[in-house]
Amino acid sequence: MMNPVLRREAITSLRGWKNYAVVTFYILMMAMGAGLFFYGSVFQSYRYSFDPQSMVYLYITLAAIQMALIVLSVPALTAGSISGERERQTLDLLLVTKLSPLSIVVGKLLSSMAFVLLLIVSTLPVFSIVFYFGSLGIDSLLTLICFTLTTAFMLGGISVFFSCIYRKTVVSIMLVYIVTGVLCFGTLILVLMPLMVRGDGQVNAVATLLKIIPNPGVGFFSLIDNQIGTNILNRGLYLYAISSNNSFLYWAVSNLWLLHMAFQLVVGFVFAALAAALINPMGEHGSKQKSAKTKKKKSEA
Amino acid sequence: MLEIKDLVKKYGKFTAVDHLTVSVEKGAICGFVGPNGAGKTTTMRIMAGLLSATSGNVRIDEVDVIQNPRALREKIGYMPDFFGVYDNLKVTEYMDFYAGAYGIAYKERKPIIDNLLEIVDLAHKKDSYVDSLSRGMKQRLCLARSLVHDPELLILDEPASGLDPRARIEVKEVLKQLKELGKTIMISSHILPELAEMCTEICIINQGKLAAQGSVQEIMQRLSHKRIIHVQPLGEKEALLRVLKEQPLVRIVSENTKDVAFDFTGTDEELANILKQLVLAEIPLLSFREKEGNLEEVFMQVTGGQSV
Repeated sequence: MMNPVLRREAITSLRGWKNYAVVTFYILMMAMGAGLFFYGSVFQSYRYSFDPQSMVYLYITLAAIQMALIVLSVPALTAGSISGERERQTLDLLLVTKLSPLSIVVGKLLSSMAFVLLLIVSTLPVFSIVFYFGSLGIDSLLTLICFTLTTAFMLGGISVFFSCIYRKTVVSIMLVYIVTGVLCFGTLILVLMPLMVRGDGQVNAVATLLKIIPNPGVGFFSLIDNQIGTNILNRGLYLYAISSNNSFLYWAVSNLWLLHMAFQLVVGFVFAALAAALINPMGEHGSKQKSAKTKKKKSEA
Repeated sequence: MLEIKDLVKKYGKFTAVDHLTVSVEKGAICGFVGPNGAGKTTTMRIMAGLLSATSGNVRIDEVDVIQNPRALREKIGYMPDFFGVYDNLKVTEYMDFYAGAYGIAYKERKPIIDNLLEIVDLAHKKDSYVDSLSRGMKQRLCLARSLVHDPELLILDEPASGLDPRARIEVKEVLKQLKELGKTIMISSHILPELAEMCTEICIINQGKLAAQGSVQEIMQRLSHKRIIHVQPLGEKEALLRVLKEQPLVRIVSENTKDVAFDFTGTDEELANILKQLVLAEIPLLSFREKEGNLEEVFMQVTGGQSV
């Protein structure tokens, strides 16, 4: 049986105009990215000529825009999932049903993922420009979609988690952006610091790898790097940071995006489980949180 | 059916529910009454599995709610005092969503939903959007929602709050139907006369403690320490007052425009004896009757005058 929360979200979200507006805006942004690329690379070039190989760069441009839009939109789509139920005073009605807190959280998360998938699928016509010229295979696009979905899953999991803690959706959204910022820039600083301090490249290879795996920017770059065959990241990391004869480390550096996807899935699941524990009314977390927030109301009852 | 034993709920130093012990028989309608802050909602939330207790236990059909909250969800239908609805969802879809959440198979849902909408008189609104319904209709819809899995026990927290008199009567009618269907109902309300009318028993809770439990009549008899008797003489009252003041069990005699009222602390036999003496004294009487007590008076007496 389909998760009732997912089913209800699917019915209600597609009835309003808001989600249609989001899809329209999303497609427009992607189309604008493609348009600007053509304008810059073809019409502003010296010979006004068209090089089909440059379509690879269009792919990179579109993938980057897509990634940026997903990173920006997932917290906004998901961070109000539980706090919205609280604001609407419908969470208690859900919690007294036979649905477990985990199935409520999973339903919320899946509905966000379904919308992200809708956004991605709706931009396929824009991506098809790249494949029309045969620069990259369809497998590259499918891998990119999988990578984007795992990123959305991780951000969705974190968003639902914060949504369980904070009543205001805006606070949850801001916190997810801060976590994303820390993952993107904080991990990079952690990797670069020892290199700058020592200067001789003699740093702990495993530690460097562990610091770089959570970075979504590096993960994305690693994927694109692999797909277009430039191997900039692989060579750079291996030469300057990981220099080791260990074959596993070599494989890990070469497939950093895969490790990052695994990391994203694990983080997504962990935060979803934590969110479920938080809304469990009979659990310690849930009861403490509820008691603190509704103490005044209870005393008035 | 329902056994609340030594239930305690503390928020830091504040004790919301203080060693509360209540039992409700199967098929009973129990009115849960108490002033604001007495712990009614807290107790009901614990019973519904929405709040953990500090100590004590709540048993429904011998199963502990606190130890096994999920197992009891199919036995309990809960309607909170405040609740919201979803936008962009029709009445049947709303009911279908909760039927799904209670694990009812898709094929079985339609007849259940149709039947419940008939009971709460919302069948004509089944294709309307939930957020477009009036407050009273939403209240009745929420009641139907709490019945979707055919629970044995209904926990209704202020089901008639904020409703106009007409909507209150409609909710009351639905509750009467549920009573006929044999549901055990625990209901809190601030409209005491309504509770007295429909409940088979009443629990009065004050500062988290049980102040009284029993049928309305039992409670009034137990808590009314004095009986007020009204006597209306034909003509002058002087002779009547003289005889009454001579009676040792008559405490206070007050004179009204038409009749004389007195507080009496004796038994029925002793009261009959007073009437006999008035007749023997040849005092012509138009009426001799005991004033009926009401739940509000008892409630004010038990809770020390705090409002519901």
